[in-house]
Amino acid sequence: MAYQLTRRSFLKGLAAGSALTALTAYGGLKYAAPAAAVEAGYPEAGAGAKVFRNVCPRNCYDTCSMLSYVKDGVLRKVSGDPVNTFTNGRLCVKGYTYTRRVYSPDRLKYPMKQEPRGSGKWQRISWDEALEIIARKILAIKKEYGSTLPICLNKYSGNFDILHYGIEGMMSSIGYTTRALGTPCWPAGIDAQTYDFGTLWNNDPEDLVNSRYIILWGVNPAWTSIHSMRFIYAAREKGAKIVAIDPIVTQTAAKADLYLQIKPSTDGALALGMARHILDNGWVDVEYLKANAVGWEEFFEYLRREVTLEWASKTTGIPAGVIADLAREYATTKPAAIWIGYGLQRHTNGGQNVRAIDALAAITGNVGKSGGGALYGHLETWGFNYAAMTMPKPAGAVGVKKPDGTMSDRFININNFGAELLNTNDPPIKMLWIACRNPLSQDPEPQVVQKAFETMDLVVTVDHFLTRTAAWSDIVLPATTHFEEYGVNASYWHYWVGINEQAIEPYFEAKNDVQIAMLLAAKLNALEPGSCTYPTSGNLEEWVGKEFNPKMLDLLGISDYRELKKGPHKAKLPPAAWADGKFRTPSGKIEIKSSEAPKYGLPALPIYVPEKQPSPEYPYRLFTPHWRYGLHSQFQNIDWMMNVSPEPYVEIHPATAAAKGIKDGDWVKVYNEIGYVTLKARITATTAPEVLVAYEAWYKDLNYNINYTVKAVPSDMGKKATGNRGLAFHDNFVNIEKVR
Amino acid sequence: MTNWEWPLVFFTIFAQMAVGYLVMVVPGAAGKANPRWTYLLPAGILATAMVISLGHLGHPENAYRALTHLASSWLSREVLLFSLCFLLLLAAYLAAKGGKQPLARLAAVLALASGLLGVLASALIYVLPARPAWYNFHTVLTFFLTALLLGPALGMCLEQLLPGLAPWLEGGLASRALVSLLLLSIISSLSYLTFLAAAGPEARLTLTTLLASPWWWLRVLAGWLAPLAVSYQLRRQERGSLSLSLVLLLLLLAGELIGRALFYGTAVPLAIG
Amino acid sequence: MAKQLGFLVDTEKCIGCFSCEMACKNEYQTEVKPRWRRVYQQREASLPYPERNFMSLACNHCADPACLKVCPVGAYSKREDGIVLQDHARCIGCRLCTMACPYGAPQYNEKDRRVEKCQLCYQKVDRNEEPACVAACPVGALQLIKDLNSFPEPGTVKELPGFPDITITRPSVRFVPPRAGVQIRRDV
Repeated sequence: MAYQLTRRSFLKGLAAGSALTALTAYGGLKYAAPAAAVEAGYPEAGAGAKVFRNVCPRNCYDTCSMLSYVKDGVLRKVSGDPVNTFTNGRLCVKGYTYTRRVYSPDRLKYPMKQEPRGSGKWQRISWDEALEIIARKILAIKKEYGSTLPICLNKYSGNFDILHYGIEGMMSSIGYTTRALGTPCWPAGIDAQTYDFGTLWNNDPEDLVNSRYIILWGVNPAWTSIHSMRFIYAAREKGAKIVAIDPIVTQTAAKADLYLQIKPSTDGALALGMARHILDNGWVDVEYLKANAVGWEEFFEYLRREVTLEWASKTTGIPAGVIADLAREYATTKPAAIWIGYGLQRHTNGGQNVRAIDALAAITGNVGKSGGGALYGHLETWGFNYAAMTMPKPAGAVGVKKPDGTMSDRFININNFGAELLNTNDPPIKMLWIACRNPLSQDPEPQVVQKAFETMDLVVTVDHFLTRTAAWSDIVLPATTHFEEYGVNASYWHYWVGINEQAIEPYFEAKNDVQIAMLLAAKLNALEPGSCTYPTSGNLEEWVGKEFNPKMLDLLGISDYRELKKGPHKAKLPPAAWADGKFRTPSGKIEIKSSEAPKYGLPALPIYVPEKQPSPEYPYRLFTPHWRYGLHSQFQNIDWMMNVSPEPYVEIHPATAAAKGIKDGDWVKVYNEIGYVTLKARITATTAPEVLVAYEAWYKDLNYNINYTVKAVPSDMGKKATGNRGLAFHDNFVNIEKVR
Repeated sequence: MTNWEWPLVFFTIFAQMAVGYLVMVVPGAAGKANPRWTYLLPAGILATAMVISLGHLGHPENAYRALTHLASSWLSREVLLFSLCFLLLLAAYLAAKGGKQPLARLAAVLALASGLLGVLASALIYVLPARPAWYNFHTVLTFFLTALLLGPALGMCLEQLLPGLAPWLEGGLASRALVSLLLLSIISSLSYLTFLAAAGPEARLTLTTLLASPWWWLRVLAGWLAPLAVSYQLRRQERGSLSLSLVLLLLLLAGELIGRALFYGTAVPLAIG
Repeated sequence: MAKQLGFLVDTEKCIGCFSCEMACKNEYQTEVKPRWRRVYQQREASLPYPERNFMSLACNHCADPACLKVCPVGAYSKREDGIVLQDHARCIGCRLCTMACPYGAPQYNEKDRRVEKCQLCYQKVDRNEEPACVAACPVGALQLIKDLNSFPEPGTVKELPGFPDITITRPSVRFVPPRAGVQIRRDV
């Protein structure tokens, strides 16, 4: 039957429809009824997961205690461990990206080799094949050169877990090898504190709350030690004044009560100017000096002879009156702390500047006091056995002959790696093992390092990603992340030690560095019995246990290392370093006049050594500091991080930009005689007219490496405590011009 | 810049063209002859437009849910109104086919009403405080201008093919109306541009982007200046001209499509920081 | 509303570390692009002198939410405690809410083809725990306001330069404005 659309029914329907439309067009109802039950469809990633204890093993003050959440064998999320009162249950922007690092599609899954080197023609190989190639090469080198000295290890801070010193152990176990010795980061300051106090030892950073005056000198904890900020703020709430001294308005400087924009590399002059003013006004703690220091009388003579407020002002660019006020406040507010940053000592006079600041703390009696101190870092909680590192040499091993007749490894300067590789002979270096390190990204003059690679027969890199260094290696071995291995970690800033549990199985065929050593040992011994002394098997958790000695157990207040599984422990150290007055210098006192320094060609007193000057051709100083998004060449390449921080830029002062015709967002070329980078300009008055700032990072697919412009200029100190002088990264002079 | 939103560009342009066509055709032709061209054609254009609009959804299979928030959502209301318009046009066609001309005419008039309300709802969707370039009357005006330009232009073409479809479209009246509307369009756009210059940094950014974009100038040429010239020519054609009408329609379509894409693509959200 | 939860953003304390933003992503393992919480740097020109100042914003769970109003499928609802909740499965991905929100809170997920946004960690709130972002802030610059209706206000403001017009949707967020220290700079 055909449907008959009667007028009536049609009109009825229409009326109803119109009424509805009219009603709803009024917009009466404010809130829609919830269309679903409680669960809106946003599941928590960590729900129902098993929790493990971990420690972030990166080269960072904060070395956070972490918890990892694992479900069905997959890491679901991470969080801080609330047991650690310093990191306080929190991580950082980098730490929270860990799941994306562990499961990154870019992560190395299998051993690979490429022929020729640098071609990108990667071929997956088995572990057996990889180790076969490596072992045969080691043995061939031994045969040709009579020793394993042509094999060089470059390893540093990619992973600071104690078991990772097994990499050095692996090298030792095959014979005497060449080692890249030293540290790029902080050696000048270490030596300075070694000359002054005997070693570096900061107050417990949690003790900062007791300070009434805090000078953050060339340090940017708001970006590089975020967990310290809580204590600095707490001190401020109790009435402390926070002062930041820095050539640029860093994030930390933006939060300070007083910010002083100092001319780069002149910090020593400021400290000395303050010291002179303190001396003149009788604010010196003579009693403390008499009991605890030597050489202060000569220091005062020097101050009276060579240092004036006017000179300090002229050198540093800070008004004399301001220096005087700062000196008065620092000397008369008790207790007062100075946090000396690593950026401060990355200059040719960096070590000397740290010594001047140490002297400032000493003469005002702020050393050895809670809430005081000249804080730099410490190694007090690193007294492990280093069993993983200590391996005997195989019988018949030949090394470098020392004056006393014994043999040793050969050492080259890690801070001039490329040049040293090229210039080392008898025997030359022919094979590289690179782990926890990325020299093609992080070294100054990477162009020279690249050139040196060309003379190598075999380059092996162990890493998580195809970094620049890995990309120019012959063999790349996939490393485990700290979630996939056992370990133990200490910090060089706070006093906590934590165990790092294995939370998940290794990613594809990734292996822990110690496991790699064991496999290599087995392979070497199969080819040539006795050629390697490294154990060929072992349980990593047990190895962690072997790192503990009675002293460490006592320090942590535990009787068995497994107690750390219930949470990290804080070392039982006095909150104030040097409170006992037992300085570890030869004299047992603070050596304001150092007995050791002259042995290294350095002034005995913390006198001012003039800063490096720019040339007329390259008048701008390029700072390449650390920032929050990356830790050296780590983290910035992670997808979540690339989304937040997609590209590099150089910070330029408006006056400089105007002089060069550069607008915000323009592409610019930053260059000097050794290299250049092109990147976007960001105009900001947080920098100084003669200072450019570009942050060091690895942006995965971008051809950006700020180190192309950085020369391997050594800093003044570092040889005593770390074997080689440091690097004056921030004494890098460039010019800039607009491109496109 | 923001998304060019091509599915929405085509949807709004064609839906508005259909409604504009109804404006031209319903008063004169509804209830008389040519049910196919009076009802089915615009229904078809509208339906095609709505199907294209599904392309802008992440989950078009659940598009029916869009009818459920009439209480406050202009998008919900737009979906309802255009759906009603389509159904009413179908009803008109069926009625006309069944010989019930007065009923057909009623349905057509109601279809026109809901179509017009639909265009209004379409525009109001975008009148959002969070998008300064959209947050003004000009959005509503341009949506209607699109309808009133494209609809008659389409009608004029069809009138040449089917004389008597809409007799009053023939001759100078339609082209004179078009000229007026084009001039109105130009003037309102000029005033809109000056409005943008004073409506805050985001609106100013829209303005500078538009003026710097070659597409904007193409839109000016194809969508206003060239049609003005063609309309002027058409005025002098007593019986109209198929070729000129066709050229006019294509120019206007190009102009409106580019203009709509620019509307979506250059709107700058409120800045934060 | 019985009560209105909100965020207190202390820009005086905030060090722009982005922990809050990343902790949120970590908590829900979101796709790469959507940033439910975003940390914005304030324009230098709007500050009294050059410095680095930040504003951390997620969804402001507004009193008069634009997203809720414009959504054609009624996917949004406002809880008794003021959280603007999205029934995620209901979303058809029309993205009108992304255009209507003055703060860019709802964001389109290209993989899922739906819009998503901060849900104020409603599961945690229901368990009396802190939202992930609040729990992650190392200096306590981000706090949850338990009830905006009875929030003691001294020292807080409703908006800062660079924060879109609050009269549009009446966002449930309060700020502590940045404090000025003393700068001795060499370029003045």
